[in-house]
Amino acid sequence: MTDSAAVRAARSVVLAALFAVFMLAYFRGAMPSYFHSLSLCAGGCHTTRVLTPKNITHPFWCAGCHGFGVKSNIIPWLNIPLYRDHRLEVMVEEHGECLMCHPVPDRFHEAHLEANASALAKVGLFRPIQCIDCHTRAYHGGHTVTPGNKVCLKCHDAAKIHGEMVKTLRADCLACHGGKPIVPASYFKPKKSSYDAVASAVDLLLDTLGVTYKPSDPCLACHTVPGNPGHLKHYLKWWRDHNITCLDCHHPVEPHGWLPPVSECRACHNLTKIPFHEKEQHLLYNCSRCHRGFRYANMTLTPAPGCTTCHGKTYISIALVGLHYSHLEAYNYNCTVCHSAKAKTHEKFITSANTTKLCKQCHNDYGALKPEAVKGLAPGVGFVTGFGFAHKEFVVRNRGNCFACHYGWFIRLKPKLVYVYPPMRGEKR
Amino acid sequence: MSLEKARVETRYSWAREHIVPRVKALIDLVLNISVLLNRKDFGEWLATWMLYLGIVGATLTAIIVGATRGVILAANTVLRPHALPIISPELERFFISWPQLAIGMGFHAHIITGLYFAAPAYTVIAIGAYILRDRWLEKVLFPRGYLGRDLLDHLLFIATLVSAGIAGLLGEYIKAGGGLAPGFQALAPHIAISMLWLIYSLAYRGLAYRIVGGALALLSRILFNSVPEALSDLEKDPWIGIMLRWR
Repeated sequence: MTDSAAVRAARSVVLAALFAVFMLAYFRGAMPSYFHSLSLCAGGCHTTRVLTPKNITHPFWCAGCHGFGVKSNIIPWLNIPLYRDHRLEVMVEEHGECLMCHPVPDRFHEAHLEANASALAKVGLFRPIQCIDCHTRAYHGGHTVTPGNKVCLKCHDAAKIHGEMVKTLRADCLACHGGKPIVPASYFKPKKSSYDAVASAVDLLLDTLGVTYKPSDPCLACHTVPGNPGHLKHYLKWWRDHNITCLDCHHPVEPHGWLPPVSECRACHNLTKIPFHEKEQHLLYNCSRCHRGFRYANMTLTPAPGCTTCHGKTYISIALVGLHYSHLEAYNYNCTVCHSAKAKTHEKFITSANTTKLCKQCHNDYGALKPEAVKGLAPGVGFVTGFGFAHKEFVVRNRGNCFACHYGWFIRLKPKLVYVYPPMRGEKR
Repeated sequence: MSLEKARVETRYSWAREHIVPRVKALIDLVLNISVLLNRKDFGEWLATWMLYLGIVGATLTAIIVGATRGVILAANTVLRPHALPIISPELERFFISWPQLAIGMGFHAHIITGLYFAAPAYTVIAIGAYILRDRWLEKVLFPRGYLGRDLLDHLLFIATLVSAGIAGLLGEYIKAGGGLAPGFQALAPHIAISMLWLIYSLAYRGLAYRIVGGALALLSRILFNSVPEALSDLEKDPWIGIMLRWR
């Protein structure tokens, strides 16, 4: 007995429907995830304990790595990512197979992977950085373990780089330099953020890390050593109603690394009341031009370069004037032996030496050096000997006025020592 | 009677003798369209076509995977997504990419043809034959009646499908037990059973022989316009015979 056409048609439809149903059933039952890339490949046949699909943040297709060949050579007409990325291959060769699954997560990692040969040589590495250089436990049961700060020290000498920094802070490299820093190191770079913001960031850093020692001033967390003598001279000095701190001069709103200009000095220092600052030129110059303690470490404020900034050649010109040369040499070019440093102006400084009392401090009536005056003289200075009784006679005759004979102090190109006999009667001088 | 006259009277055509059978065989090789035209039943055609494609495809891809796995293992020591450059990127592309392509596509195509074509089609044919009482589908499964050797053939085929299905479950156990290559080890029963079935089925002219043999016979028809003597028994097959019979 043959089936009727209606029965055959119905059975045909049922068979087709059943096929669709079973195909879907096998699909769902056995391979729920075949056609939906990573999350489904990994959820179906290809299990992985390394990758978490939801953590993959860039376009990722299984075939991107598990490609069936090179796009241009094998399936050129298919515009789907069935190819292996050449850059990826190079990176895998250089840095390790981790990159096959793990994309470079951030700039921190990129900077390490892109380090050139000379930079690597400086830290004693003569090959590209491998992922496992830092992720040391990646192959031995610590695949997801984040490297600690110790691995940084394999190449980077923290004491050398951050010698000034508070040790507890210095020991936590990843707090600033890691892929997920508490405060990125770039935040502290010059002119990246304000002094105030940097101070707040340091507070945050110390609080997050649970550092028990906190410096009184956030700046001191990194700048533990005074930058220069100028800082020592100013820091914590009482001024008006408070102790001076860093942010008094380095204004909080200004960018980190901003150097206080001369106006900042003048806000506290009145030049008109400072000795030797009466000349107009002094008002025009930057303070640090003479007071270089704020520019170079280990350089005191006033003596050097100090006056020599402008008067550097004055020594030379003065040395050529009369008796100055022999005296400058003897006193190590220290003008203040004769000229009073307490003078308030340049003019008073010059005229302060215009008295014979100063001569008599070192010389006796015979013109010889007093024994106590010999102390402190530069070695090798020719000792002045007296002229015997004749000199005393001249002293008495001129009533102790040395300049009556030794008037060559202000005359250029006079010899070192001038023997000027007082004019005899009828003799022209 | 002259030759010309005879050809005219018998409506002889060179194209009908040399081209049409080849074209028909080519279409049948891919679509089994003769079955649809002969049976005029979409459901039967769909089910049998998918079984045909599934087993031919799975067999072919199994051979590809088996052949290329050796190359991959020799080149890279392990089957891995990224093929290490041997000497130069160009050589690597040529020597490594093609086996990678073959094994990658072969493996996935094997899954598609076996799991999505052959398995549901075989299930549907069984349901059609024994629940919906389709006599032709019954003959598709057992053309020679219920012989012991054919029953064993079907049992081995079912075992092949089941062993592929349980590979996922088996893999988890092997992985939990610290297996070095859980995926590969889980497939070992499937590879063993399927090879046994394939050899048995070819030797005793079972399902694999009828389907793969039918595809080879169609290829022979395309190339030589004849079915080889060794495969001539397939012309009497209630399913494959439809595609192989001519005139």
